[in-house]
Amino acid sequence: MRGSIQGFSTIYSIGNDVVKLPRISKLLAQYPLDQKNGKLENQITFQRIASKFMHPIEYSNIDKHQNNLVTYIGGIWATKEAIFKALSGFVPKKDLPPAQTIYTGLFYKINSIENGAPFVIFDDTFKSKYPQFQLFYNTYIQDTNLKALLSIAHDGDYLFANSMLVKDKKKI
Amino acid sequence: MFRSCLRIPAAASRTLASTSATLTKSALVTPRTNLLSSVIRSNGSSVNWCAFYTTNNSPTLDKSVVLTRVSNIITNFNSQLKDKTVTNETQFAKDLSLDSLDTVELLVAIEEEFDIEIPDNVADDLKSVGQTVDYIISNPEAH
Repeated sequence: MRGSIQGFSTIYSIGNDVVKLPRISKLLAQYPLDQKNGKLENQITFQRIASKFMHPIEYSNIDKHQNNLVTYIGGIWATKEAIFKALSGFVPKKDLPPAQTIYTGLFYKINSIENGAPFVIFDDTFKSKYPQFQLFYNTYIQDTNLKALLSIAHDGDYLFANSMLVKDKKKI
Repeated sequence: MFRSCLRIPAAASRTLASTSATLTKSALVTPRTNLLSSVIRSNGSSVNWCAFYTTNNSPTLDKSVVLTRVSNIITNFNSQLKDKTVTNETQFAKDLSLDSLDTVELLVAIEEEFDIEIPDNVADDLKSVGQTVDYIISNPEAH
């Protein structure tokens, strides 16, 4: 056991965000999801909003979060902002893809099956979907062996997301 | 300039001519295709239809009208912006105190209003009303 615990060797950047959950409730009221046959069906207008910040995998998981939809969507928004801020502190502006490209294509948030903790996965299909940003992905995500640590807390109307970009422990 | 002129089939022409309705010159412009169709002649015995496609992709939007429409979206966005004076120089973050979530929502409202999609790289650069108006006018899909 002794000596088996290892930390991350390099911290690249940090970022955080806070979101007021009633704003998300208001957004959902304006761009609602219909519930048909017990399954959430999406209206076109919510898809339009979601397409600005949700990765397709996050969008496909909406049905699993019917009971905590506001927290789920608020958590995704805050995560995207936190990691975007962290990336902005680490990647030169000229090399950074557009914000919405990062939000919807670069990474997604899912929850651990074991304990429900949120974590982030970088989407390795990003390079093929956005070949114009292949250099960015290779330089700042792949070659740095980048990992985004994520911690989320919420209390009442407020949800906080904190992220740290580190060099992952295992080599590619 | 007109790229093509189509003549309707003779049978249809006779059908139209058999009606007693008076055909008058009219124009129909559809936003998407910009098909301008006009009855150019009716003499009771035959009707000729000509369909014209304009080489421009859309009717030119008037800048002041676009500004008015964008301003209406902004002033209806939330109660704090209800009485705001909106000009081309108005900046989303600095003057309207819109954060990134507000800006996403505002740009979606503008997309819906003008029936356009704003690409990711363009959305990043739209920081003011004037920049947004200029983009809308430059977008051939906007109407």
